[in-house]
Amino acid sequence: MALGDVMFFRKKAAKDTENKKQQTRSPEYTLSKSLESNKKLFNEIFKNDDTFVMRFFENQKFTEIKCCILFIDGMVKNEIINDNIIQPVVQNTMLKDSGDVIGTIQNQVLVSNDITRTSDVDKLIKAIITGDTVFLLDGSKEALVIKTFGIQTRSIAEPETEKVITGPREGFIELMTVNLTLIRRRLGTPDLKFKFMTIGVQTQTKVCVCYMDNVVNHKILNELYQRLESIDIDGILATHYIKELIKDSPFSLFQTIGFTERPDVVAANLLEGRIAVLVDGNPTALTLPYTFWEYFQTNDDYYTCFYFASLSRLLRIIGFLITTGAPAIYVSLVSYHQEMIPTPLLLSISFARQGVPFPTVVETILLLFVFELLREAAVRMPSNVSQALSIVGALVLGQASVEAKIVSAPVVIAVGISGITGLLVPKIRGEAVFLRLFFLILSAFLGLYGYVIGVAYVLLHLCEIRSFGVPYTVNLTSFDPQDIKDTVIRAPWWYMKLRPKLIAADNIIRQKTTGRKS
Amino acid sequence: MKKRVLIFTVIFIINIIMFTGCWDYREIDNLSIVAGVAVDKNEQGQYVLTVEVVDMHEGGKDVKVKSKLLEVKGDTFFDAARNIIKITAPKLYWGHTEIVIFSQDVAREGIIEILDWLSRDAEPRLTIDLLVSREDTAKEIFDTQSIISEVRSYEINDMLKAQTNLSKAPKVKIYDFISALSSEGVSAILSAIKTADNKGEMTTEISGTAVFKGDKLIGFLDEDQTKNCLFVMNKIKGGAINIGKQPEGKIKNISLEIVNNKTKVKPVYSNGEISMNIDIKTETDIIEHGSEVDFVNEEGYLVLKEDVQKQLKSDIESVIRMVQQDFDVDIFGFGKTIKQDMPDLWKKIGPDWENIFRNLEVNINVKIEMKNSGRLGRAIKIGD
Repeated sequence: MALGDVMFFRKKAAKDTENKKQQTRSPEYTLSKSLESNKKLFNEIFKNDDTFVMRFFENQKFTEIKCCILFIDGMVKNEIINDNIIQPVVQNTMLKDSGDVIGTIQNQVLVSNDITRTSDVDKLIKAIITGDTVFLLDGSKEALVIKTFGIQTRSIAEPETEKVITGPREGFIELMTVNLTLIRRRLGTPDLKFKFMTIGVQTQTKVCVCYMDNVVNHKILNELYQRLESIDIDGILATHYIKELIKDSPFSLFQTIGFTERPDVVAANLLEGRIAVLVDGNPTALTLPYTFWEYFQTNDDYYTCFYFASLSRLLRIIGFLITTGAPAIYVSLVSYHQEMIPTPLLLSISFARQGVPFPTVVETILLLFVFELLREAAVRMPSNVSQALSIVGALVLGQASVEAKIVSAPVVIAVGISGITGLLVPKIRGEAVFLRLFFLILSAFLGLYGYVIGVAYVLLHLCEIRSFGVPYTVNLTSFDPQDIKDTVIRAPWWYMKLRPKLIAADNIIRQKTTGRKS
Repeated sequence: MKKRVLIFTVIFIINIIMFTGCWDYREIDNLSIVAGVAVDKNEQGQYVLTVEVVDMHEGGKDVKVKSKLLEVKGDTFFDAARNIIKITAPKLYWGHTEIVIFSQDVAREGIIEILDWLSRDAEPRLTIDLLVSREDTAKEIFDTQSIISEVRSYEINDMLKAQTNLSKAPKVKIYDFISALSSEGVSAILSAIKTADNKGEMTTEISGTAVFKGDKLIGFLDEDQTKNCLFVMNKIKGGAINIGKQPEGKIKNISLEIVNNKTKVKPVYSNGEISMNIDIKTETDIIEHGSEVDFVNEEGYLVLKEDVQKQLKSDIESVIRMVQQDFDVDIFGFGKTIKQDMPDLWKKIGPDWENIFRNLEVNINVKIEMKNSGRLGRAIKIGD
């Protein structure tokens, strides 16, 4: 079904944009020997951009050595420019008007750890845009690019959505280089590789692919490169752009690529042979391949006692089943299978429904809709009015509608339970909303049979999809203890002897089996 | 082409769901939930059903569950059950029915067609408890006052469940009755119910057993006879052995609470004569003790034990004799035991079982253990 859709849309889209490429600025520029004409050239390129700065200066002894630096205000560290570029050049007394002045300046005058010499104007433009400084010298056809990048960033803090009770509290920030150091600090081996790419024709966003060279499955890695290289979009503003662009089963409800804001989670994933993708300007990293169980894993599981971790993981799975199933099962029991309700409960539900004008299904859908409205409002609104909303939501809509006999109290309970258990697994919340409605509508027509058909369909779909060649529900049906050690339960660390077999295909031994007898 | 297949599939699935769905949809508040039903017959031979439905039309908070009685007539049981629609809109819902009470007249004429409907129809459960009213009609049981619950039928059902602590009436479900009815060598029984006076208000009590021959009622056993019968049938789960005054024995005013009971019935065949050995092993606690026998020392213990055993044995013997002579039906299932233990013998004597049962010899062996004496170690001594 989904496949047909994809083919259809792709064909149409291909027809519309056939042989058309994105329009980019591409006149050819060349540097000249004259500083004056170079000035004109850059002024032309950065016309109407008031953040662009040109600073002319000359050596105090040899005034014929005229220089100019170009940078963008706010993206550079001013101290570096003042102390390490302008001061050495202005105050230098050894410079002579010899053959290779620019070479002397590069090697003997400027104090910087990263200087490159080039005459390629495109490279110069890119350097200026990314916060580096371009040094032009009168009489030279070449220019120097000095690393001066320095912007204001957020400090490293614990991510709001992935809090832990114990364990590291660092989270990614918007600056990719910092994020990479956070990962590097956790994996002290040269086998950790960072590969940079640039994606986005307009945004020219830096993207980094991280992996452990000795653990990663190179087939998956090559597949990832292929998919990343085929992206042709004008801009990447968030990691999720890439996620949607390279995801398997693009129409599936379920995510086949994970995301996290925590360096420790990325490090753990890399150690298992997974690959991480970071995007500059985003505190979120993608991890892939991603399997269904990872919805229910949290980093806290690995930092607390394994008994307790297994219990909370089971709770999360049960919570997912309840949040998707509670309204559907309630509706099918009350409208089709009254014999399955214990007599006293049947009587009290029946009493509660006296005088309610709508069928149970309509009631439930109505209340679910209100619940989603409240949730969406709570996410979007400023936090200082959230208290007012919860009062309105809980009191006015809940209690008053029960008393006014618009909905019955048991439905409020069923929807409420469904809503609360939905918060247990925040990662799967969006999926749960759709599954809940899907099961509910099937149950409304077919009773419990409908619910069972719906669950069977979803299970089949889960078994069908793959994430970069790895079956999505890998280990769902396995009985091998080493396969299920990290699925429904979290086995103790001394038992996790192997890495995931399908992901780390070549190097699956995580620890020697002699470490501890089990 | 693929697009067309896709659209066709979607329409197809939607139609399947739309056209086949909802066929048994009904809202829970539109059900007339039947709690119990009393079956009578009028002079014309029609069934008269008195149906107790749970009354839902009170609304508001803190409502007590109440019930309403509906009375209808019909030529057959099902006819009467459907005729309810004449006086109330919603169809009756039998999924939560707990009891069916038969009047003596109905039970004496046979109840097979009613049981057939109850087990053939999709809604009623096979766990419904069956009772026989000892009053003139069955419906007057519903006219009595409830004590705890407002719904008469549910309270009677709870009373039946609590009978395991009393053992003065059997608890018989539809499937028990049908199984006894259809197997060889055992006759069916039902519990009996009658009205009782509780401080001037009429209420009900479950007491005794209704004895059936085939599907037809032939008589009743009283409470003590019922208990002694249950001993033989190995259906004692609780209750007490009470001895008020014993003319010959030394003990008096004793109650022993039954903790555990195990009865083994074994047929013995010798010299062309069949007889039954009944071994009753009962563990009890002394729960009330008003006699002077000191049960702590062994002598007193043995006196107590032997007297109680003798008493129980004679009680059970007399009830078996009474069933053999007055009813002439094998409610104990002796025939079934023989069929299981000695199938070859049963083939010979089976057809003539009624005559054999009438004169069947039984050897009863009662063994009572007193394991515990509650919080008191010995009898309370009366000083001067």
